[in-house]
Amino acid sequence: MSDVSTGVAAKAATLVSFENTSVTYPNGFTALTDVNLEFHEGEFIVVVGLSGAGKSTLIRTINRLVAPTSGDVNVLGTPIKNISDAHLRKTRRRIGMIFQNYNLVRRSSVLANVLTGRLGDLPTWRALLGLYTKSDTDLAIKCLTRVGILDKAYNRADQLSGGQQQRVAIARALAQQPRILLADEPVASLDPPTAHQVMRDLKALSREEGLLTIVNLHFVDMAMEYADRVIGLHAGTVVYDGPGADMTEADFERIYQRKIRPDDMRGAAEH
Amino acid sequence: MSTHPALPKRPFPWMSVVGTAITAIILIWSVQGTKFNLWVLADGLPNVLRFFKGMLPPWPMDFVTGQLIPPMVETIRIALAASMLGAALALPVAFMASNTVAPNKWVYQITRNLLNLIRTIPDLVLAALLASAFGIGAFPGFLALLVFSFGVVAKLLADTVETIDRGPMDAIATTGATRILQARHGVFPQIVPEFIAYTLYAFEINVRAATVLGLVGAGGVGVLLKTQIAFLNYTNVGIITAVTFAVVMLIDTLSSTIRRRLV
Amino acid sequence: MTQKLRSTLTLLVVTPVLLWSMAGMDVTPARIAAGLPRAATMLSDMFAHPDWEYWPIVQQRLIESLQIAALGTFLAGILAIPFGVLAARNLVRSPVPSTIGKVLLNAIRTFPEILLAYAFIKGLGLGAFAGVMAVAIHSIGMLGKLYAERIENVDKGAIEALTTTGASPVAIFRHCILPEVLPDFVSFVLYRFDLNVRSASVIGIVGAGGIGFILGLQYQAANYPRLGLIVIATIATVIVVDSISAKIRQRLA
Repeated sequence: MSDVSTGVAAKAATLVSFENTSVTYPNGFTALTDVNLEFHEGEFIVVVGLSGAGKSTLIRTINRLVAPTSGDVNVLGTPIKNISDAHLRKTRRRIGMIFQNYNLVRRSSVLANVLTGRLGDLPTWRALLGLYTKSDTDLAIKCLTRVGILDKAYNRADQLSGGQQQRVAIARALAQQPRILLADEPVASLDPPTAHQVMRDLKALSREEGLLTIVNLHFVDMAMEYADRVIGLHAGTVVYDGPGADMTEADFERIYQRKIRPDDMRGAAEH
Repeated sequence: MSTHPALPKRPFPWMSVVGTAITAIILIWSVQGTKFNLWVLADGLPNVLRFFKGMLPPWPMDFVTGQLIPPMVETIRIALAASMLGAALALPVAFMASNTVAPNKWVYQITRNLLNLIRTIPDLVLAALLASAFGIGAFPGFLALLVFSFGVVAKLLADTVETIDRGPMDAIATTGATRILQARHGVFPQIVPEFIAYTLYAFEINVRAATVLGLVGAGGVGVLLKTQIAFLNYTNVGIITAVTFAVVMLIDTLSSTIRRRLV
Repeated sequence: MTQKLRSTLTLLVVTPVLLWSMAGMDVTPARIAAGLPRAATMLSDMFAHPDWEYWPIVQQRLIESLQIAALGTFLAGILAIPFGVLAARNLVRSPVPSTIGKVLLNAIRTFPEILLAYAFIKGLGLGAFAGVMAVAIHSIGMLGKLYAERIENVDKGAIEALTTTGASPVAIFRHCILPEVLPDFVSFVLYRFDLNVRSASVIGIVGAGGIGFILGLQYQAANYPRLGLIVIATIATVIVVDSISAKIRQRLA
């Protein structure tokens, strides 16, 4: 864990850097054009922009769910564009990701789901037989306690509410002992109070564990409330990069290139 | 894991344990009852394979042109007639067996249960009984397949009718038309593609069933198959199987083409 | 094409086809007339006075049919898994293995079960063992196809999530795909068991054990009271097995 309180952002290690990264999908659509960015340890970054602006693509190139078509992305010291599958898996170990639809194994228990976060570190025979080590199990329990859902350990994942499932997903990501946490629209399916709770949890975790956290949000008010740093994308290029605290709605209107609408706002945390 | 202090108590997986135990008991009982034995299997495998090898080409064409074609044509005719008539008979019954069209709950329940009953009778049993009554030949086979097709198409059709949009039917009902007319004009147009598809499906199953029905003398290619097996003419058995397979494939393709043209 | 035109055309095509297919059957009113009373006597002999004394043998053979169906379906349930995995399109990048798998499964599925029975009787002798093998091999066709289709429909989201954790494809299969599809596989096996109870009863006629054997015997002897008992018992068994299996499958869903 790093001591973020003493460091000015520039002193913290650079964990991710985009070097002239462009992404064009096979169908011809260019999602990102010539992006250059640096993300540092411990930062809490929110990416905003219209749908199709490239938010999702930006996040997904970090763990190469989407491959850069030109330029490269340097993640934890490795330029990931051309590395082998085995090397990619090793790099992905240290990157946790949560999704809008939680993406848990629905029929498995909460504990089993969190344990799957350890699979990448297990030798094949253990993975095949499902024989996690005691330290794996201890870590899983610790992560579950961390997100406050240990009491549901043996419940089937699909028996839980949306907010609870997202917490399980976060626990699964934590079980990887990651240095980077990616979140692709993590609260879009949740009601306002739950959404704010999840964002607060993410921010707290990021601080406590010193994780570089990058969150995709299309809710303008939430971005302003939680982000240390906001990256604004428009049509595949970075049009804004600055601290979140100082942002105004006018800044957002420049990123979105239109007026802010009611459905761009999530709403209050309390009723 | 269950000794960890903070972890909740793991619920005992009753369902899995009981399920596995029962399955294991049934399997052990079955192994004993059927005298299943891997060593006997290993010993007997060469003979099994010899049967299959005997069925492979080269296939003498004179068997095909000489003996195979008439029974094959007879099979196709029986199968076709049974599926068409069976489907026609199934149509009104399917309406009665669907909760969207049936006039009341009694009609619905009774019809459904009757259909289920008909579908539990193995068609071989039916064919055997009919052959006893009406003499062997194509006719009992036809009747057996007729009943069978009726059952299959009626069930599938009833399930489909239950998923239709009631709108047109209700609209016609407001004009005071009888239930029959409601069904004919409100429901039937919506299910025509399925009706045809199920009829062709019954046709396909019937052609395949013909091989089995022949065992009780109910006509068609099955009778020929039985004699060829009895005479240990495995090559001919292979030819019959291959040609039947080809016919089934043809019907399958025909069915897909017709359905594509209609939809 | 107007409705009327279409109906007329359909009638014009369908009627001759129907007439042609019926013509080959030597169906005369006389034949039907002669057959009906025969059928009536048969039915009354069978169902009004079934030979209850024959029950012990029927029971023993019914149990044998159930055992054939149970063991055969179980074997198929396990053996079909590699076929299903092979035939599933979404597990490897190349479409070649899945095409091969699907063709193989289709071939197995359309091969007549009766012929399989004959083949195994040749190798294993008459009796239930041959029946088990025939049922097993034949069922692999349908089960493999159902398995493959189920695997092709797995929840992609969960797979994506595990891929991002750096887990290997094998681990993902074991911990993400398998837990999702196994309960459905069990459902498929139970459904196939239903069908196999029916077919196990039939293949006995050629000597592969079970109730089919005495069915054929009593039929040849024209012993209708015994035949009636067999038919009643078989249908009753099928109905009972169907409803138990349906209840279990509901619980699994």
